[in-house]
Amino acid sequence: MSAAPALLEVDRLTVHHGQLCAVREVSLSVRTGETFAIIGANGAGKSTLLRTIVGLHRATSGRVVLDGEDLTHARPDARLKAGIALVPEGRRLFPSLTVEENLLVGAYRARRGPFDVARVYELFEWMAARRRQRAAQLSGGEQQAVAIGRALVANPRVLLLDELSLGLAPVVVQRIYALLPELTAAGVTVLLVEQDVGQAVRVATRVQCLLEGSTTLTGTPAELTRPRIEAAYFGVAHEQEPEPR
Amino acid sequence: MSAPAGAELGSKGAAARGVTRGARSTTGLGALWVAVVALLAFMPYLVSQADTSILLNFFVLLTMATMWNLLAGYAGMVSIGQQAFVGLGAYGVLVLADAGFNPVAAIPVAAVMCAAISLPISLLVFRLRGGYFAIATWVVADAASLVISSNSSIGGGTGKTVPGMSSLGPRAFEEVTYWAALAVVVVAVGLAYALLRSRLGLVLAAVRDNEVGARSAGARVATARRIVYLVAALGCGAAGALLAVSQLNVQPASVFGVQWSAEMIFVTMIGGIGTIEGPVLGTIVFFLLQQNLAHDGAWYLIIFGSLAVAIAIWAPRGLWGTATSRLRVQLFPVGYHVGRPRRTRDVVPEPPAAPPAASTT
Amino acid sequence: MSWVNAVIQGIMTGGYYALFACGLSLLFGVMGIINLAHGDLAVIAGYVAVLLVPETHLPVVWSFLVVVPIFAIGGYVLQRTLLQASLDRDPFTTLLVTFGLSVVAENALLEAFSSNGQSLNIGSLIAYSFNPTSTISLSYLSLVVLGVAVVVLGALQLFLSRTSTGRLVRAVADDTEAAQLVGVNYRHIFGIAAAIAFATVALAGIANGMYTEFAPTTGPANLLFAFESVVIGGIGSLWGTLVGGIVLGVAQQIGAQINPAYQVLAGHVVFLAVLAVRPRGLFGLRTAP
Repeated sequence: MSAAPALLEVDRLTVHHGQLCAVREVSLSVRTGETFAIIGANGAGKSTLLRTIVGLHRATSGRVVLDGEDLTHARPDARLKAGIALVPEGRRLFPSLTVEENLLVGAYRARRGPFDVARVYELFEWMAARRRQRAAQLSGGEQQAVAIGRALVANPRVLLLDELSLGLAPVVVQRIYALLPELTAAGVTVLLVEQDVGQAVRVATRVQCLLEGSTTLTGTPAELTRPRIEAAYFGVAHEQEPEPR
Repeated sequence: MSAPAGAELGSKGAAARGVTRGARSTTGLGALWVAVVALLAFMPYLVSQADTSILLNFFVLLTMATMWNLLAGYAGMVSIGQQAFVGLGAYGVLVLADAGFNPVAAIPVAAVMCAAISLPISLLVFRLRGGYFAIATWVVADAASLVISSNSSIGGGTGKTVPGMSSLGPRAFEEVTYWAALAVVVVAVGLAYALLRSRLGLVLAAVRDNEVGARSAGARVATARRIVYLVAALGCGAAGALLAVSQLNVQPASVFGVQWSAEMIFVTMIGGIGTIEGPVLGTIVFFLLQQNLAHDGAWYLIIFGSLAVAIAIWAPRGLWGTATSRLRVQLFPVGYHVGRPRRTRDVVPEPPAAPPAASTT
Repeated sequence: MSWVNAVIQGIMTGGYYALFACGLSLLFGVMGIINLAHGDLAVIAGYVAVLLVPETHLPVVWSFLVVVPIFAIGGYVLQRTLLQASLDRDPFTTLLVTFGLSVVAENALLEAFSSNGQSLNIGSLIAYSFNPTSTISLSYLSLVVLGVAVVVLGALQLFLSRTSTGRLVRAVADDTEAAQLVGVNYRHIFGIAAAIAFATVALAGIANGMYTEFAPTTGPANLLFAFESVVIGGIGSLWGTLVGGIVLGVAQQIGAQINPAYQVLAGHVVFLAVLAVRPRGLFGLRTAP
């Protein structure tokens, strides 16, 4: 496998919620152009990991490095300027602002790049017509699209997606995930967190599984068989696959 | 292990599992407090009249601070309108004394009247939360003050003197008012302590930590809050009644003044909000400061207010809370301590007597 | 005074209350701060004008040109330091801190100036009025203050809805975390909101000083009126605050017509009635917290 340089590196990150250890010495490295998926059950620490990478949470120990720049102690707005953007769990649009205003706020600290509000309207054809509607009035799937658009207009180098599928109908989820190749083609590296293992494995170039804050499995979708993933996901020792005769 | 959660708090089961109300350091505290109160009761024979007067005011402020602490520190309701009940308590005594009652005997009656009035008021102000609740309480106090000021039969804006105390000589007056104040503060602090050790206290602690969780576990949150509001009105009403009896001149501007709220709030914040000991410590600090800075009118309030602000931001647990955060010192044990089970015999149930061996085939 | 005149005076007083209350509304809407020192800030503005006017040789009427920027800067600094520190603790702390600051401010003013009332002397301007009918008297100053209130509220509304900074303020008010994720330094935006709020309260304080006396202890009364205006009109609506202020002003003037001693009480009664019957207020976007 050619070793493309790591764009985003997380080095033995440990994060606590008060006394509870949510992330335990997790390391990962995302190469430019990859779609990296983190899977795991509820409470495994996936969202905490993303939030720490983007700066909303302070790490107890470990490092977050983007393209050689150590961002471990940087504030979230500084990390956005460096090129990390998060589409948070639950979308978190600004409910009293319109769709267009949400996107404009997203562009406030935009870096230079291919994405702007017009490009987002191309990406989601329905959005332009609804742009003066208040964000709170949109459906879940529409809000998810706007949330992604809001993060995109900042032209991040790494886009973090937290639980895209949460609360959305499967059809809607698929449509959103179908966008990812287009983002990757435009030069955005994607790090996503997903409870839906099938969905994650379908889109990812590499997968890492977390359980109770620790990494239990990493590899490419091709290397990871279903039994291995299940074992890593639930933390049960799995039976060895029978040796091929 | 399989008993429902409620059962375990019964004292027998709890003690067996090592759950007690106080740490070992608190045994013998009861005797200590009795001794303190006894000493205080003897004060009029030990110190000058000026000093008992200071102590009286100390008891009045401590009562108010304890009540405010109950409201804000335990029930999470920040009120800046408790002076409404201070004023109503004072005027309650005035009205009763005018009607011929003994003013000192009128103190508990006036206090109960305040508690009764606080019930309909709570129906109004409980519609708001947080800062808006706070200001609403202030509006209520201002309204009460205005209503009373417009009533000339009780002195209107200029005030009136409480009748009925002139038969006492100065010495007897000093003693009677002092002991009344001591009685009020002992009851107030004791009531707060009893309340917090009771089931209500447990509900309040649960609500303080997680209101939704407490509600879903069956806690009657609104009722608990209302009870606390009533008790706080009772206590502040008693404090106001004491003011009327000891100062004899009651006028709206002084008994309904917001400076009572300022003092009870600052004292509690500095001493330590959320602990019964806090207001005691804070009141002591306040009086020490006041005695030393009394010559400079507004300065002690400036200093005290700034201190309260600084403590609120940088040492929010106050003097007592910060000092005792490492140690489990409680002069008024209201929590639960889980220690090691005392005797294993009580914890591990005896296995049932073995049945006669069944014959196996 | 006739009843009609009472209503008209009430409307004009309401304009002043609204000007005074919009800062309170902004501080709460954006940062969740209930500024219990709001009334005292207006009084401080009056004293600053009294002190500065002789130095700057400005006509008293234009004193706000100096005082308002001072307050805007002061508001930004206070927000970024003390208020942000207490917000970081929890909203409960902020309430206690602003209360503490209020008491400290009042007593500091008492020490610095006496407890006597002061006012800003605008000379003969205060006497100008015109009388459309024999029983109605419209004071020129009150009309100007009403006009200023409407202009300020309108400008604030435009700022929030049309400018990019205003958009950021609304976004930060909605969700500070999400705002951080899109690169907004929400503390800076809080500072801007505070600066605006302090600027409006300075304006209100100067207006107040022109047609009435102020003293170190007159702050709390104004705080209560501002708060009542906001609740009556509905929390979350700037124009609601104007309506609320007018309702309060009219209630007070009508109460005064019945008996001068009932003026403030009438306002309290209306406020408590709104609380009892419609806690959301007339135009409230959500229930009071």
